[in-house]
Amino acid sequence: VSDEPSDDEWSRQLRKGVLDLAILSRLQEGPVHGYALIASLKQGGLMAAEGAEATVYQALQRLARLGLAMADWSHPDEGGRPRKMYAITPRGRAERQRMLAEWKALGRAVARYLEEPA
Amino acid sequence: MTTTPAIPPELEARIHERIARLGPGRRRAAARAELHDHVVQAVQAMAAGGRPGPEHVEAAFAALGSDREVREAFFPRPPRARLQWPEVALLAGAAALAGLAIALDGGGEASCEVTGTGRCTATASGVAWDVLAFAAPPLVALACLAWLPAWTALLPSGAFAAVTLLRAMSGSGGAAELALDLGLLGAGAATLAAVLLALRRPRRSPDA
Repeated sequence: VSDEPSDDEWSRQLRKGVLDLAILSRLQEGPVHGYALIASLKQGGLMAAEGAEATVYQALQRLARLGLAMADWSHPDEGGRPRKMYAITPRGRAERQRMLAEWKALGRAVARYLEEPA
Repeated sequence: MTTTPAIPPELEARIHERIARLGPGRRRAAARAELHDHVVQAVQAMAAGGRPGPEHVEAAFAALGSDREVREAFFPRPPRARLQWPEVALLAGAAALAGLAIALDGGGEASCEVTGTGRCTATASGVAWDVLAFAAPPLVALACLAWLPAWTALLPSGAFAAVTLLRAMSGSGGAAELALDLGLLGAGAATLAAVLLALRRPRRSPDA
């Protein structure tokens, strides 16, 4: 089985469900702009190469609306283009912790269930 | 180390043109800048080591998704109020009440012509104008709630409530005048109440 994420409906839904957690986890490492975030998600196998990249920006907007992430424009020196950077908020860190705990608990439950179905 | 290829002016123009088509309007400049930044980086990455071409621009936009997905991500419409039947009924009732009160009164001061005896007689066009003017704000508020950002409904409904309140306070007496003022006051209050009710509901995202 390849590590490359497949592009069937079930795989897409599965990755969509974990997208917010993945984004918050990346933001926790430090501020990042949209393009680098998408590259990181693809590299980490959390996004199919053909996946619609706009969905990541949609998720960023949603996280910002919920107060879990914030956006700011960076103004680089030497005439570089200003770039919109996303960062995690304190509320986002707490929410990420909660999501991570839930994800781990779900993983354990699924593994248990698949090994010993009722 | 890979050098970042510069984007030729004709490609820049192509990118700008596509972005402007997706999200026109002055207020979307920041979102357009973010989209532009993304596309430029994608084009540069795709053309690494070579000269960026139109095919890279097309591929960068294609990777983002459909036009609809791009619009929803970068240029989302503001959330609208969740309109339900109590607000619709209140606003429709307010418009009907205002129209009825004005029509029964035979028009306001601005809608009459002075006859030879010095009396003010309502004209059909004057009455129609008054009915329209007073019944319109609740209907405009309803349209705002349905199609525009919810806060815009406060403008017609607030103005209508204020005008009707002032009119009632400066009432010049007489049973007919009092009935008219009370009718309009009720319509103004109902309009404002309907909008406040709608604003308190959870918002509905346009892409939901």
